[in-house]
Amino acid sequence: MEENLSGLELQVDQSASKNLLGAARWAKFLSVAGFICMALLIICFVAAQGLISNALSQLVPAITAEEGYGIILVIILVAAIIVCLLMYFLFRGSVLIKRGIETKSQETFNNGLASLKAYFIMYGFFAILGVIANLVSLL
Amino acid sequence: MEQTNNETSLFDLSIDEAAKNHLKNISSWVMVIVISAVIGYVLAILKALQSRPHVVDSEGFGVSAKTGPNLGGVIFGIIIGLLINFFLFQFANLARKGVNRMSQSDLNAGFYNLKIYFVIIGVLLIIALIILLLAVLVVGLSAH
Repeated sequence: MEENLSGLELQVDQSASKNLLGAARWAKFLSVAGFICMALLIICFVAAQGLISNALSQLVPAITAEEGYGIILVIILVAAIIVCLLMYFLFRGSVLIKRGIETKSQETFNNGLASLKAYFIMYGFFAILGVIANLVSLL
Repeated sequence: MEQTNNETSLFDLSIDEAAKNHLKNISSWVMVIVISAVIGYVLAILKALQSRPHVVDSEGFGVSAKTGPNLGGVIFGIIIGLLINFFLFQFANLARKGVNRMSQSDLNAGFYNLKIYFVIIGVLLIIALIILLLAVLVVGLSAH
């Protein structure tokens, strides 16, 4: 069943193209949804400023409502920037892989794979951080 | 799923050295992600078991709350996570095998698993968004 193409290069053949185009389509959808969700999160957070400030001042009397809101806003902004960067790599990867396959451009296709690699590297880095944070919280 | 009689021509895209290196790097990092996820699931179970019977005072703030997620929710999350990560693992494993052994069918199967991985996450995201939208509608209607 397995075919070894000794002497030949691996190809992005019809089956690979079909699967990569499908993956790229869904990856693009996910990245766009990620951008929109982050934008909505920030808009909701800014819109509900009064509500959040009041809740914080009751929950943590040691700091003022403005300080508490500011701290949480910074944390949310940093998280949103990280997620948007991650989504950018995924978006770029999906667009370039799709374009590379459609135009049969090796360079564009390779750039798409490079962006997908950047996405998985960043994802992996934060996955490791998550495990470390989990371990620390468990101890 | 797979096509064994691959229609290749001189003008098709190829997996050249640069693409091979990218795929090998992607496979390595995907393995890191999968291993981290599995460790995370084990820790989540431990946390859920550990924190279940406790009722803890939030230090200094005078708030009492039952801590930790419920075990059923954790197990449900882990099952979905394992399903997603299984396809990610298969992608990494098959893509690496395909590149190392110059096996077109393994590489194609790897790409197929990558597609399934993104499809599952996409469908779950759509379901989550629908639930969120319904919740917002219900809250909005009950407020009036």
